[in-house]
Amino acid sequence: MPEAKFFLQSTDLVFRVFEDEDLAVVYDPRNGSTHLFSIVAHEIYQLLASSPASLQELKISLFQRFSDDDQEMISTAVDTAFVQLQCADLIDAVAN
Amino acid sequence: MICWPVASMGNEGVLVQCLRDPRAVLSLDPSGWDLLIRQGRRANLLGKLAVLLSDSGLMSLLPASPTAHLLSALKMAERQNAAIHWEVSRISEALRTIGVDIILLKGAAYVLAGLPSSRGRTFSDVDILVRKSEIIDVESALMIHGWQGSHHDEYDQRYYRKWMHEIPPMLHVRRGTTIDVHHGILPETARIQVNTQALLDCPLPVKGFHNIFVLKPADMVLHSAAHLFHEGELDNGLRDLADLDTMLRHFGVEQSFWFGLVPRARELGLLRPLYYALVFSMRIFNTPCPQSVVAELKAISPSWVFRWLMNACYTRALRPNHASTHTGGTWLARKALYIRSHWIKMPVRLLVWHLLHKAIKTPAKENQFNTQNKKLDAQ
Amino acid sequence: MKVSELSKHALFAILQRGELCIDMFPFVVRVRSDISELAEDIGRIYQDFPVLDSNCFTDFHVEVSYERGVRRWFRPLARFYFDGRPSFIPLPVDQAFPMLEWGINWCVAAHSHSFLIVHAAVIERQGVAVVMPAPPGSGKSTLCAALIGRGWRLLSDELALYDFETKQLYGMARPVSLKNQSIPIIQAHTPAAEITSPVPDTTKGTVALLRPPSESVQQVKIPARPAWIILPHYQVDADALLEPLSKGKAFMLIAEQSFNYNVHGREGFEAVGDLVDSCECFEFTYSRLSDAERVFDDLLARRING
Repeated sequence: MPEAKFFLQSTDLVFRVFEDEDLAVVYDPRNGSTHLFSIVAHEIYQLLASSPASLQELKISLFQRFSDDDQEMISTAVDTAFVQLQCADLIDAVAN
Repeated sequence: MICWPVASMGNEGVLVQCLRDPRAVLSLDPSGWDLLIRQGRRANLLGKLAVLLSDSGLMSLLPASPTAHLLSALKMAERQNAAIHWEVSRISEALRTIGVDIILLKGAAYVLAGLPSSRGRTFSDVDILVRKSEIIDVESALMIHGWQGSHHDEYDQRYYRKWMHEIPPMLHVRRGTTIDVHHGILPETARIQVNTQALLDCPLPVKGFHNIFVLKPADMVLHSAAHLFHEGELDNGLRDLADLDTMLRHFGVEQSFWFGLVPRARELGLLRPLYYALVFSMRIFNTPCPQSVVAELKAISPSWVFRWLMNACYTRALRPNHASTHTGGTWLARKALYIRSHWIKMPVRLLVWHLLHKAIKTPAKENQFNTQNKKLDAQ
Repeated sequence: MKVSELSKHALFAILQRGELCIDMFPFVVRVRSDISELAEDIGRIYQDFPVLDSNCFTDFHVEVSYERGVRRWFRPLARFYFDGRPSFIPLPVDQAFPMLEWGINWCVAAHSHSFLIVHAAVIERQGVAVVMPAPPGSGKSTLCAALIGRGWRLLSDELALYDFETKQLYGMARPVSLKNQSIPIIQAHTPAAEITSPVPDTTKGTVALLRPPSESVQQVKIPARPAWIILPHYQVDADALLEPLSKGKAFMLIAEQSFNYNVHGREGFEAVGDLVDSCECFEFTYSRLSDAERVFDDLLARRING
């Protein structure tokens, strides 16, 4: 069965990343909410902004992007960031 | 016969003068500005005043301290406007699943329809109008999406559901926002029977939503008039009249609006509120009104006794509820209108029961103080 | 003219008429009261503040007066009014001065959206400022009171007013609120400090107000450039420990401690981002005030010496 693909609920999010840090703050102009995410969430956001993707596809993209880093660690980071984005109503599954 | 002192134009206060003619601010001294800002804040019209001054190109000419308060009110209004958009989108989403269409009322309608009356205005909650037959489904759908009923007191529940034209306000558990769900624009028990069906039959769609509508211009004005001239608590009376004035000027650019206004009021059963709305809007805000409509007003005016009494009451009660505008008779005027509003909302036996019940319950004001005190404690 | 130039009698008379206009830059507050003890507290603790003509524009009209009725003579109560409207529940009249201070804080925090207002202490030295956001239990007021007793300028112990355009901070330099154990600690630390008689049994415990240093009041119109955001933790017997705080977390802390962050939307988001970007951010655990003074002086020296 093909894996579910996800898309962004808003492409207007404003990210602010601080130098040498692994956290980013995000402003959602739809409702004025502010969130604290990992910078991996920023990476996921940028990937989904170009096209919907499944969780596995996102991980593969990041494995390629950060080939020096441990894949296990990237996978966990992606899972965490994914949950953060979902809880903030920022991503949703594509309806079949 | 009770004799009311005749209210002179001079007692209306600096706020009304400046709303009517923004250039009047240019002749204010510091204590004049002090009074203007305080009246504006009390009447919830500071944002609107800021908009008028900005539109008149006067903002850069004003002293710094009062300007800070005007800009502050404007910022708050802009923020609330944005928040209302989001709130309506959540409501639309919640009701999509049950296929019900709703009509937005009052402030939320002004915002979503992009009307001038939304600018500089603050809002406390969202009011929607649904068919009475759909109210239970709407309530359930809202509850599934996070809204909870308030007013759990059995008496209050009955007051709202059976006698009034709405279910008790619902509060969203996460966002803390309130939604008022109405199935009529005046209580079922009211002495005036409004033709709600005619209201529900031809609303205007709102861009970007499939299930959200607003009333068409004449209906929006008539609803606002009905609400204002049946309302007991008139703290926002002047603000609501200012909304009416803005709408009349905006819609009134089209002649067809004026032609249809009185006939539509007749069709809906709202001639009397329309009469008061136009009379007071013209009197307080110099709202331009075609001669033909003024002539029609004469035909629908109440007896001279009522006209005189209503004039005495509303001229006082529609001023900002601030000590600086109170003259002899103000307290009595507001009290009289409060009683009148209950009188026209309910038959006498229900009214007595309702007022007795309210008198026995703990006043809500103490809760308000406690809440504010808690906020301060949190500092 | 300053408050100190008014005789006790004249001050009380002006207060009773509701014509006492105190310049608390960037605001002017008009005060009314019929409580003579409150007049004395104001006369003492606000002595360095300018008094303006009663025809001036005032930002907030406040009143703290006796509650009417039978209670006036038996354990009397006082109530706070904002522009003639009663706010909050009445409290015992010995809490009149703290009530006035809390009330003015509320007026500013609820109505002044031309600033981003953060619940934080701000102190300044040599042109640069420390911002100490104030979650409960942080002990920031005690720390603030101690440091201003050692030469730091007080901007505020409660309300940091951030100016969007200049990206600098203002503070009003108003009395510092001390609670419970802080009172004897500061009395011992700064014997020359003027503190009101402690008022017991408030909702915050025993409360007293510390007179702001004269120089701080005189310099109130000078804004401060923020250089450090420091989250203090008072911990019994702890050694001083200054640890870096991630800017992401500092951002959320400032936003959460702000009274009107939400009102400013995107502009607020960018402003807090700029503030956090321009500051070094730390968490500071301490128990001894002398340690705190040393650490803050060291930070300053490092900054000045580049």
